[in-house]
Amino acid sequence: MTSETATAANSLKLMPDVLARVAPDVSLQKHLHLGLRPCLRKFEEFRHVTVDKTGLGKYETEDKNGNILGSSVVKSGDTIVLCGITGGIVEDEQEAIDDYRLKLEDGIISNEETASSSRKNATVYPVVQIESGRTGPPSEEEMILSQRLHDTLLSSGILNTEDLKISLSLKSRDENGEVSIIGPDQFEAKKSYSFVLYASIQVFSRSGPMFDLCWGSLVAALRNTFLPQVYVDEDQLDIRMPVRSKGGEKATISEEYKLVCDNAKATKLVIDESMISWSSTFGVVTVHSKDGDIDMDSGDVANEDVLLADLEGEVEDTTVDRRIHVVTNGQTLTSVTITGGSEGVPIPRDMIRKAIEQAKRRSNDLVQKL
Amino acid sequence: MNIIDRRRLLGPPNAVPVKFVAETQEKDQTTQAPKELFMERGLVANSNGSACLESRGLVIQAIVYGPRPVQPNFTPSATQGSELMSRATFNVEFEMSPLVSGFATLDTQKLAVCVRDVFLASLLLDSYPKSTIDVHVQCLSLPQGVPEDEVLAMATNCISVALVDSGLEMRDVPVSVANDGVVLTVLNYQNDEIVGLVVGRSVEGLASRLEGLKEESRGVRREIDTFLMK
Repeated sequence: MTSETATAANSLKLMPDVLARVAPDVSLQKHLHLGLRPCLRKFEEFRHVTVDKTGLGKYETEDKNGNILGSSVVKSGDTIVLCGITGGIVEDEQEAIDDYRLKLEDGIISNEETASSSRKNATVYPVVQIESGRTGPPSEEEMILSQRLHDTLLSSGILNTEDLKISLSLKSRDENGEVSIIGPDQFEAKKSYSFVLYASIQVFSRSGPMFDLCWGSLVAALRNTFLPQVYVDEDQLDIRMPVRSKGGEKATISEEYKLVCDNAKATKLVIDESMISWSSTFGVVTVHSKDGDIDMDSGDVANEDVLLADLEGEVEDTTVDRRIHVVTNGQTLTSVTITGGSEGVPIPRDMIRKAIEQAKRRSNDLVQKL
Repeated sequence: MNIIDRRRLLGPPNAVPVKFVAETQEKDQTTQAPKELFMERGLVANSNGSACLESRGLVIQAIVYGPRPVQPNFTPSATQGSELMSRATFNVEFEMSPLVSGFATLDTQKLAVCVRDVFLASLLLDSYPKSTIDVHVQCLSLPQGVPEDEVLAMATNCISVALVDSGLEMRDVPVSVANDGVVLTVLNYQNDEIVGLVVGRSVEGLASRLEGLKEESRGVRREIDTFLMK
């Protein structure tokens, strides 16, 4: 009998990386008992983050043929996050009317949510791509990340709808063919337009939850974003385009301006500097006192909850379900998300308090870097 | 039919992308700047191998995944013949980074086919039965005026470095050079093995130019070798 158990124990000898793959929960507990995490950081230690400009933006480089209005690159450990901001133009009145979401049944999406022209805060439309060796439609994680970035930016108040409004100039040609520009103070356009900002975020070497770094790259890119000066090209003013609504009840003729952006003239995107925030992710894990094969000196230590800052690696990613996400500018909270707690395994209140405190300190430290 | 992409946040449907006045820059800087090659490998941690090459503003990244088991499984069936079971399948995915979109549209399908053919002849696929090797190539930065053949040559070299980084078995390291519509890929100098030749249009004196290209490729090969030995 004893020899049998001995062989069984022998055959279960696994290398650390194999154990992490086969039994991540055991691996995590073994590390936590040593007072370390699988990534060898301390419980509440964050990773180092560097934020850089990429120099890809149209108004930052010599090459005037790109259409990137702002960009950033954020690195932390092996992970690299690239973010590029591009722009679109939308007619103000039409934005809400043509939104397909309004055509959905009532109740699925409330009107408040979609009536973007009436709200104060603006946002961007991010598309996150995480390089993981697969192709095809975006994964669940990518979709959730995009939606969360969109929602968090909207509620943060970093961007204001008014600041995205376009003040049009007129590009006119006189009889000699000389181009003259009539500024927005003298030229009054019939319609008003706004910029729509898109963000494409690419993640290489994903390790652990990605929201923090994606958020950082998005905010950093917005800080380097320039909005071009927009002209109405006089040559194209006469074009008229019929627009019919789907049911055919209203047939309106809409005049389409040809809007052209300047290659050199641009203004920096106005953002509310005081609301610039950093996001931090925490995990809550229970360290079990009696773990069978681990021989603790005291023997009867009670189960203890610990807070893990900045989750990293496969082990933490797969085993830590209880999470606290805090987005803060150091003083006020932009967003707090708490997930995974249940009746049996609650998230203790002091953990939440501690997480918010840590996040504020982290944010004070990192916001200057952005 | 009204097709809506519900998986991505694409913003208001009637928004039009910003248009810029096309600027005619006739600075022929691409040919004047010296051909400096910057290389980096192993940047992407959760892959089997990766490389990033940069030369005169053109940045290409290649990521190798594999050998991975064939999807969905390797039970022999009518569709999966012995061919698939005895050697690895090799796929190349070529795409433009969203950061490059706008003015330049390369025929990425064609580029993918061209590089795939080169590596089909170079990789020892028989060593990896029942598996698949996928290479994702991405063009991260493309300055104006860079011809397609130069992108093709860079992509080939980038995949070569990435495959060496991954440790997959190859007969040799293919090295590619492009010059005025001709792309030559040399696998091995001893046996004079050429694994790829793309001629974009009719060129005169092709035979004599090939000699010149081969000499040029030796230089690139030397550079790649020095980098890989480091």
